[in-house]
Amino acid sequence: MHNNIGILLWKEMTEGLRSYRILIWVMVCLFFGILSPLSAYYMPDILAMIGSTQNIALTLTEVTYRDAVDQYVKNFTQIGSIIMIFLAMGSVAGEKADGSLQFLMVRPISFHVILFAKIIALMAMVVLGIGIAALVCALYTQYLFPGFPLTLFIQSNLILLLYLLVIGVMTTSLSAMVSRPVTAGLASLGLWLVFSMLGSLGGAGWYSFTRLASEIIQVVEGFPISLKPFSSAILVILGSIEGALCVLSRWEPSH
Amino acid sequence: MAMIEINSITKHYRTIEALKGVSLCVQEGTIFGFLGPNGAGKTTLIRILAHLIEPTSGSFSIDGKDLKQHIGYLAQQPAFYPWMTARELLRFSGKLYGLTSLETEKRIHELLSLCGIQAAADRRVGTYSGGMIQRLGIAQAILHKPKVVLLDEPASALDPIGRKEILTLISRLHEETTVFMSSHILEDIQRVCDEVAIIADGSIVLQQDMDTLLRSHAQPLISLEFDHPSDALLCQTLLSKLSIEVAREAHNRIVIAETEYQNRYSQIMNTLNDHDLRLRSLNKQNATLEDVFMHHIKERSHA
Repeated sequence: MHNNIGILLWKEMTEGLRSYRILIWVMVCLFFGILSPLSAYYMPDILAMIGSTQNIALTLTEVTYRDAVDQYVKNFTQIGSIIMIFLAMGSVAGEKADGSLQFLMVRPISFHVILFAKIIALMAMVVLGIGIAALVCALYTQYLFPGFPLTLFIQSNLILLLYLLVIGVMTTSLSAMVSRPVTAGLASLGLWLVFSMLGSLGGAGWYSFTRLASEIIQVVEGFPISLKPFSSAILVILGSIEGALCVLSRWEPSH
Repeated sequence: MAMIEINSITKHYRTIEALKGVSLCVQEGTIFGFLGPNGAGKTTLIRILAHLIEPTSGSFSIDGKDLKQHIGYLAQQPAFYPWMTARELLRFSGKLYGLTSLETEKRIHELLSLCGIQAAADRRVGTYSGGMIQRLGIAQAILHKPKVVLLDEPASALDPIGRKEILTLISRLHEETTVFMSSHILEDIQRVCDEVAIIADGSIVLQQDMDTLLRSHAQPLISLEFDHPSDALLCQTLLSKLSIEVAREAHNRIVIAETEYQNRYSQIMNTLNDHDLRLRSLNKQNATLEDVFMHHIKERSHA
């Protein structure tokens, strides 16, 4: 067995670039990075304008960097998660469906390496996107809102990375377990909704990785964080990879 | 020296028994034809040899071992990454097999020219025709100089020109590797293979080298061609009345087994003379693999 992870990473990254997957993700991240502070900043004006056309007087509290960060986190943990599912759902199932996975299976390469290359490539894509989004968001927020805690915001983005990584790994693993990308996407969406509902509960809800979203805000505010959602995130990642490898090692192409 | 040894391989899919204790031995440097009707188990066995599926029981070895490194594989419907160019795909494949960059580039240069895709080497695979995909498939299968190349129906989806080109290419592989090729096109197997095995219903019906097989199993025929189709029909009727087995091959041509023709020569000639049946030509037809195949498949279905 050779060290094939490098060449598989090249394949994953090149495919990501040529299929515009990386470009789409970067554009979405850039959009969220710009939109979040701008929408928070101009929201009072927008609402006041709407109110004046309806003859309603709206009293709004002063907007701060917290609103910008809150918007940023919501954009990524909600719409960003769905986009992540969409981008990762075909990573293995797509290759199973079109037969190209067989090209790798007949070569001296294990499923572990194939799956890890996909996950590392996905991680690189997420890091690139979040890096750009965080940079743009930090620049705008710092310019528009006084007292923006830049260092804490950068730290909070590491939690956001973990959140999106859980979604990405979970979707990629499900993609390795089923034969069609749509099935993987729907299963991942379903699981994400289940974790989200669990996360909205009290006690046990702290063990849902979706609670990482509230931890991101905690970090920006400088408050202590709970490690419970982190343990859930690690468990979901490890469990997903283990399940995927177990199913994939028994998979036999049907055509 | 045996290059491929297959010992009592079985494969079950729930209630279906796709392979029933298949054993084969393929000698080094041969082009081995694996023949059988659709659904006989050809693809299943090739996929087992390519490590794509696991046998339910039994074992196999390639040059005494069981290593993917020794195998090159071309699927029945090859699927490559459409976004890669042929050169990138071959480079990617070479690196996966652990070839150095220098070795890979040298081999790519050789194979692009051998397989006739040099001009399209930097075009994306997604734009390739069926014949080009098949040629690229052969190139990626032999890039790392494997000891065995497994080709699953390599020419069945191609037009006559494409088929001819691929078969010529396969016959050239002879020099560098052992080829194990499946097909249901008898003509293709007869044209390029040195040895053949016939599989039916998941079991090997026979395995023999092509010349011996054709000599021992196939029956040479005598073809009688008439000027008019009505003469052919009348001759067939008359000879059948004499209990001579006759088959109508074309509207104005009938065929008789050579042995029957020799044994009943005078009776046949008298019949032709008596009824003024004019022959346009009389030819001996060489035995074909089709005769052997049909004979064995029919025999098996009767059993």
